[in-house]
Amino acid sequence: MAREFLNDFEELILSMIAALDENAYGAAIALEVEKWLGRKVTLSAVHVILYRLEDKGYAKSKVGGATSERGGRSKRIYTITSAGIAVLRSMKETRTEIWKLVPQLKSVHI
Amino acid sequence: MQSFPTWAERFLRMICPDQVVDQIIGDLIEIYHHDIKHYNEQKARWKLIISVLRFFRPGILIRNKFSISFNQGPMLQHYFKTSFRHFLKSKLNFSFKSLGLCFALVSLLVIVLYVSYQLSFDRFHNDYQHIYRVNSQWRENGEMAKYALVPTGVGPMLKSEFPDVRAYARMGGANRCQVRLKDKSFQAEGIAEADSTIFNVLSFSFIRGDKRALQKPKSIVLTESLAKQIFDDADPVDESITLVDRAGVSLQVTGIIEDLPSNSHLNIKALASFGSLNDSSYVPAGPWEISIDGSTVLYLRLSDQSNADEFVSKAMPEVRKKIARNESGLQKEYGILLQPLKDIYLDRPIYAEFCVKGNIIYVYVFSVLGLFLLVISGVNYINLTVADFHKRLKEIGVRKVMGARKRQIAFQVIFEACLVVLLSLIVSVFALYLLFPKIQQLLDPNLRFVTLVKPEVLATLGAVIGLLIILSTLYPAYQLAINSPIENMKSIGKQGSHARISKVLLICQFSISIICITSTLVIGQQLRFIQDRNPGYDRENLIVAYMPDQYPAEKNQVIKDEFSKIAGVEAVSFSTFRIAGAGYYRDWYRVEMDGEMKRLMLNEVFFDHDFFRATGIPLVAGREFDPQRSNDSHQAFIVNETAVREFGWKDAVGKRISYGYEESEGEKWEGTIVGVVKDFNVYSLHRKIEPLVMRLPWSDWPGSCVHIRINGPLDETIARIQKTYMDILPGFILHYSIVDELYNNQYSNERKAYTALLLSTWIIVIISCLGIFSLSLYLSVTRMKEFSIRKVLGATSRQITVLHTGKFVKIALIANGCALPAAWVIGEQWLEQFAYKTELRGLVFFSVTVMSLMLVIASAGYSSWKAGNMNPVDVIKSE
Repeated sequence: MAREFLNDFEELILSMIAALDENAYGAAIALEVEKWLGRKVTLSAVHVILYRLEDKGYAKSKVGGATSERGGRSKRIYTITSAGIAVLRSMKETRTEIWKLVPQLKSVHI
Repeated sequence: MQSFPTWAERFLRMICPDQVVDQIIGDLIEIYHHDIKHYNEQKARWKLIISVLRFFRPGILIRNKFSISFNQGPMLQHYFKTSFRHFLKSKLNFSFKSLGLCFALVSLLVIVLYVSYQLSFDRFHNDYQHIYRVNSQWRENGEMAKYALVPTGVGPMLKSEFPDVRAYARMGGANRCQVRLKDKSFQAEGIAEADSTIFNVLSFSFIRGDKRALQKPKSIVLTESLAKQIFDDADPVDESITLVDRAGVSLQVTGIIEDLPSNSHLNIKALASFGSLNDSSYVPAGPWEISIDGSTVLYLRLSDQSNADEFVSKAMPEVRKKIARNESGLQKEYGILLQPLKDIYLDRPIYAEFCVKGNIIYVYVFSVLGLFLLVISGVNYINLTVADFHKRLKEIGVRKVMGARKRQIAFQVIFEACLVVLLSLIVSVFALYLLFPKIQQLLDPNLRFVTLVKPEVLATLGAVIGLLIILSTLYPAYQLAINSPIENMKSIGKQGSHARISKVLLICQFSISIICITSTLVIGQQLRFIQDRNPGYDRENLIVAYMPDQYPAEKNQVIKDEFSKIAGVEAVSFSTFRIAGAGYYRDWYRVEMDGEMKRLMLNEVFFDHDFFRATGIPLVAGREFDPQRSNDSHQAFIVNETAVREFGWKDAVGKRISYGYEESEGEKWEGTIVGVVKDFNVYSLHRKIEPLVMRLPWSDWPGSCVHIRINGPLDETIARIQKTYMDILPGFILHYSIVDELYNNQYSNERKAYTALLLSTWIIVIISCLGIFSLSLYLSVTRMKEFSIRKVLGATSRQITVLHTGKFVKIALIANGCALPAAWVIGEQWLEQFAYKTELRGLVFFSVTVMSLMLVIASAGYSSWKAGNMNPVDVIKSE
């Protein structure tokens, strides 16, 4: 059975959900990605990815508390599911396997 | 920032899914606040606006669309799944439902094809709405008689006097001619002469040549198929062909047109320029004389604005002014009528109409049959769906508890109906395609399968199928949706009302079946009557040969003598008419009635001394024409029994009769009735036998038909006759018909209708029986508990069987009561068109009743028997 893959942005967002633990919601993720990668992301793109991840069952969401900073609006807080963890792990492992196959790195070890 | 801009909020609420829009706005505000800390307020605001606008993207919009009509996609999938599961679960119900529908749809498709073909006649002509045929009418024996002909002067006069007339064209009747090209001869049918303007009135498509093709005299335009027959692959244009039996006139081919479509009332293969087919000896009647011989068919194309009725009232005084005085005063009430081109095919036949005619009755009959089939299959569908109802009540109840809306339940029912209809439609079209050659053979060889994709046919079919779906789902959908879920779950439902509706529908269905069965029996009986009836002559072993229009007249006697000598030929007789189908002349006579000579328009035929011997028509009084008495010609008349009856004669022989007017020239006949023959049908049995006068032919022309009585083997004798004919008239080909075939061909319409009706009746009966069978099965299942309690209380198997079957028998009896009187009326009406018809007897109706009861018992019997023989323990235990 073919393994499911995420594209790089999806993988990034999913990792971010996992990393932020109980505090992963649209704005926080967008800001965090900016901070870590120094790369501009639009909020709408983040939201689209979040919905898609939820559709695929890698993340689940619940409506969280409102703060005054948000003008009294609620947050939608995402948490990673075990399927999400599994897919992240498998992608990471695959990448490591492939990394091991790169020849010049082998020569460095020797 | 104090508050989020209202426009942005409205914009987001419009494009984003409801359940996430709040969080999106919250995120936007949070980022805005974050931005204010890092940049200035102006820049943060810009970034906010851009972020808001960037939510307008497919990822958001598509999600939004799905959420509005929320989960329709999965629901549809779900409906598919449950429908198929349901079909599988109730295989019997489903297969009966769809089988019935398939039968009905195939027949419906055939009927739609047939009716649309019948209605399509002559609509291929450009602007056919403005094309008319001009008919004449005048008073004959006290009644207005209509003829499809007008004097030749009418057309040119109308064109020159009235600007309404765009174009006119006269056309002579289409004839059979013998065509010679170099040394080869062919028989060609449908050669007509017409004005060169014919191409401006009617539409023909030219392959070679153009609309000027007939402007030169002695030119001819051939259809593709005739050109191929005569010239094979050679180029026909500018070649000359000779019409051997038209005074050997030589015509130049100036154009080739495509064959006329089969849905044309004209049956012509070639058009010659006007006047070129007359032979030299022929003296045409004056352009304004009222006579059948000198008149022609006239087509008019009126301008777009003109109205046919107004035009007739304008033109009539002019025509009246011009029309020649006729000795019998016909001009007094002479009138013209315009008949729209598209109506010619289906209108009632009128005199002197030489064209392809249909019969509107059959169009109606077929349409009604189509409707019947539709009703029957609709009823079947409703009954079976309602019967199925109980099984589904629980399912629907659960659906409702889970939150299904009424609309969704109704949609599910309709969806399932559409699925069944669609499946049946696909199967039916496929079946029709496979059966099509057979259907062409049965109904009309000109039917085309591709007619199905004509827009009007598709529209009709669509409407009909839509109606079927609506009618058949209305009640079940309504019922399934309206009940409360608790009622559904407890399965109490309103069984009473279902049963009543089912009963009414069954009665309808059954009545229709009974009407169809009766009509089929009546038509079958009439056809048998036609087959067995003695038409007054002996139609077996009789052939008619047709003499060409022009041949050396002195050969007549030779032909007669030589034919008589052939082994296997018993008698040979020349006559002016052909038995079984064609040929009265009509003329004015003076007849002695109550001592006075009265003027009457009478049918007349001419034949020589051997006619009665050849045809086997028996004499009832007096004598035949006698070859020994030379003054029989000009003095002896024979009439039929009807004439004797209508003239009120006691003893016909010796009564005075005369033909020809004192004041006019020409041959005069004056004499007495010498004999009376038994009535015989010259035309088909549709037509009443009319008074008929029989005379010997004129000396110079004995008539073009030769009746030959054969007493040897048919094929061999005909071959010998052909050989003799060729020897006497070299260059001519014998053309003949077998009278028995002619006789049968007169009823081809009835035979076709009978075949179609027979098939439809079978289908209707099968569908009804399927319906009763499955309905009774379902009802027996629902009543099983009742039956077992009855059995426990001591009812016998037979009592239960009778109880269950009795219900259907009662319905069948009621239906019989409703339908038989209607069927009686319909049968009588249909038989009206025949002058000679079988009598409707009670026996037919009695046999229909017995038959219908037997069918009901047979179809309901299986489940009744099963219900009667069940073991009550099994039923009660299973609860």
